[in-house]
Amino acid sequence: MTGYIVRRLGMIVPILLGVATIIFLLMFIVPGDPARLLMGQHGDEKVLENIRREMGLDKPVYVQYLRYIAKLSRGDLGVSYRQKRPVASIIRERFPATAKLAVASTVIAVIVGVAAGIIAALYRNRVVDWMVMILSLTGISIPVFWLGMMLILVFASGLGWLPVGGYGRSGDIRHLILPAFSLAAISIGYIARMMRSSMLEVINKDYIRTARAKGLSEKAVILHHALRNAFIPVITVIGINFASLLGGAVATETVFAWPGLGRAAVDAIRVRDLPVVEGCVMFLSFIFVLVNLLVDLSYAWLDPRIRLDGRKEA
Amino acid sequence: MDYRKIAGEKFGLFFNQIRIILYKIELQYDAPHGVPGTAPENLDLYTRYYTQRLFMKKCFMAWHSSLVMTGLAFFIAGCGSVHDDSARIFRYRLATDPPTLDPIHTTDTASAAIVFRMFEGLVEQDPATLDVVPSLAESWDISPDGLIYTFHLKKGVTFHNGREVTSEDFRYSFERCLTPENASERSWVLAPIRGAADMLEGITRTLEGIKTPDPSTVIITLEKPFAPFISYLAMEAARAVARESIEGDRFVPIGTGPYRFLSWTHDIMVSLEAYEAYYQGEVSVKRIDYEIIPDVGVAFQKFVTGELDFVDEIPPGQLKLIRERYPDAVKVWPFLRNEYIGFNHTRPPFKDNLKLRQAFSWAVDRRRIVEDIYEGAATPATCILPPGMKERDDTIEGYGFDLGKARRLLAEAGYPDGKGLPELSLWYNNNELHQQNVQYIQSTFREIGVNVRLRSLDWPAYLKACEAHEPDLYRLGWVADIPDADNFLYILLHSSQIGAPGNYSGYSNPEFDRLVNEARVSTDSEYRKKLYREADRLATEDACWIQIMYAWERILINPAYEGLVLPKQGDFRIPIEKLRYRGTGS
Repeated sequence: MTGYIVRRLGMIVPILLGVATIIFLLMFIVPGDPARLLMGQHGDEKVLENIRREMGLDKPVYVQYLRYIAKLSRGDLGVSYRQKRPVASIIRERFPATAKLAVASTVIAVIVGVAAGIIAALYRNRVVDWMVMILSLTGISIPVFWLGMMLILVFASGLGWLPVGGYGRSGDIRHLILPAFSLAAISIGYIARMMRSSMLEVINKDYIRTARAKGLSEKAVILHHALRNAFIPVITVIGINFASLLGGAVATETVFAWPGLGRAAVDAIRVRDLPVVEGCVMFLSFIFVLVNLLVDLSYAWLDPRIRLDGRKEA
Repeated sequence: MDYRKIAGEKFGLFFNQIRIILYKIELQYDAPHGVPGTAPENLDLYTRYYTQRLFMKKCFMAWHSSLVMTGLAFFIAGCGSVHDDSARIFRYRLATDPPTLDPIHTTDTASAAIVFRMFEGLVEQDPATLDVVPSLAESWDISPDGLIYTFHLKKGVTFHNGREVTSEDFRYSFERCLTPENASERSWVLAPIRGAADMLEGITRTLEGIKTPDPSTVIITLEKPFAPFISYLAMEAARAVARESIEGDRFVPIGTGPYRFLSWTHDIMVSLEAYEAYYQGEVSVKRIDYEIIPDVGVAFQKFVTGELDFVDEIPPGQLKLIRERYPDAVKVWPFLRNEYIGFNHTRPPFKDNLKLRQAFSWAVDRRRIVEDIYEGAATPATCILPPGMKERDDTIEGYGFDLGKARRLLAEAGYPDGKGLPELSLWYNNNELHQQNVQYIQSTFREIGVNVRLRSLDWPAYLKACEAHEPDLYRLGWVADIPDADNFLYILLHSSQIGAPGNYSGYSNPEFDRLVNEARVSTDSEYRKKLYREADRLATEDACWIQIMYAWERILINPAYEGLVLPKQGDFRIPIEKLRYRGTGS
């Protein structure tokens, strides 16, 4: 098991190197000069030359790339062209906000989605099932920014229960409620559907019949025997979903003025702030690999028959 | 059945618990702002908001009349009576996190809005009249040859750290801006000073053209006479920055302005507080919170619920509606901005074909654009300089809307009914208003038989394409850095500025160049005005661009504040230090 974890962690290095290279090339293919953009519409040539020199943009592309990789290998993510401060500190500032939102919306999505999925499975082809399925489809289909605006109109502007947007002071959960719910909508839909189909599959298995036959209560059968086994595919959905939320949710962050990583990355793309884009994407890749590893590890925990290191069970 | 009933009751209890928690949090966070005791009648937004919330609180109060609740009720009642308006925060919306608060790097309006409150220069541009007025300099003399500027500083002015400002601080600030390692985007502002070019190239480390014979005199010598220089000195990059602002790699803003830096949480908020020792006396608004709200619709909702006092734009297409609902809060006014469709003068068909350019110019119904797209908040354009510029010539008639004339000119240009014209491309940068604008123009060109293909890009790619003269036609606007005609005519149309410096159309006319060159070095303001008027008329007759309109500034401001000045250079120049909260009467 330890060997497996070490191997998986070791793969992070080539993955990050690949990501860094792809982003670097993409940012060079996309037209737009970061130095020029700093100046506004009046790009005085002499001033421009000076800015390019200070940023190292006057060097050939391959020199810039090698310099960047060399810096990366020392753990230095570079300095933002526009904000003129270390990318690491930008990520450090944004990540707590992103994590807070990701955790809150995942918790909501898991509680609501799993419950809805189980209920739908238990009442298969009945009105409750249809309602859950229609609602989950709606959740998946509604554009996040529209849902966000509607939540704001109803709960903030209309009823005045919650603030319209913004991060609020630390520890103020009122600001978190609306963005977390609007972000959870899609995940609830996916989780509910996945939970339902997985549950239906498990419920028809022999061991469930056995459990019922030996006189266990329905609650024990569902929660103890069926749920645990039905959970494996759902865990994958939850994990990937959570990982992508940790990379930032641009639309939600924009609508609710939430200072997350997604907004930082998109704003950086808009002004061709290469170091920030690179930093954000690499951080996201890192998180993705890590969360995927955790998901795989959880399989083994949920189902002891699954051996991750590839050896057959003795 | 029983189970459902129990579940219902349990849920009800749970819901009540949540309500109580929310209520407690609300009290906690309302306390600093307080609930205004007596709000003036015309404060519709605020009163409605607070009345609504007070009503809600009363409902809860009746519901949970426990001892704790009653105690809390006394607490807020107490807050209401002792609360005074000096604790009010002016909450200002910014669409993006300011990239910098350092004057030498400030090129965008989000940064400028804050930098202008914290830093001051030798002179200032009066926001309403656009005259150059004293700021940290009490007075100044300009030598008859226009080369030597002598400034006499005000005495007793202090930086936010309490240190008195001297002439050396200007030397420091100017040299800092011109030091190549600092890579200031606005070093061109100080480039006319003698020795600035050598500094920028790293040949010298000190600025030859600045002398400080005593602590209250600054003498600046220019390389050659340059009339707009005095206005340049009012720009961000020429403002006094205390050397104590630099702490290692960090820049902590220390200036002399009415507000001093309090805090900056990136992408959330920048806070400033009134500088108590400000030399022009105490200000009424004691604190400004610049809140970063990217979405304008959300910013508007925050304004309606009273969470913001100022929103720097109005959602496109909603101006009339919002003005009807909140007539006192909406402010629109003309500022120094023009908007045009540029021709590509570097290649056919527009190169050297005056009649063709004129035909296109006559084909646009500017009034319709102003009414239908800009909802009346713009002026149809007649020439290059917008109203408000002293050098503008109101007698220039420009081009009206006359399809007959357009068709005739098109035929005379060699393309009857558009036949023989290659397919033209009209480019624009992604933006809702710009898109509506160019779509209308595309449809009107079709009326005279000309087909144009639209193409949109994001700003970085667009800028690059325009500089390289890729489009046949492109949409752009320009907001004046300084209220001097040079800033429009030289940067946008002089042949030396073709490409990145600002002349993206590639327009080149030796007579126009001569007029602008002469006006740049003249020190006689009347003569300069005459030259610029001539140049503007020439470029307009030459149909250098299709002049479209002068767009207006559109903002929302809490009507409880009085003393609002509408700056002709844009909303980011609003002197918040001049605002007063009307609720302070008691």
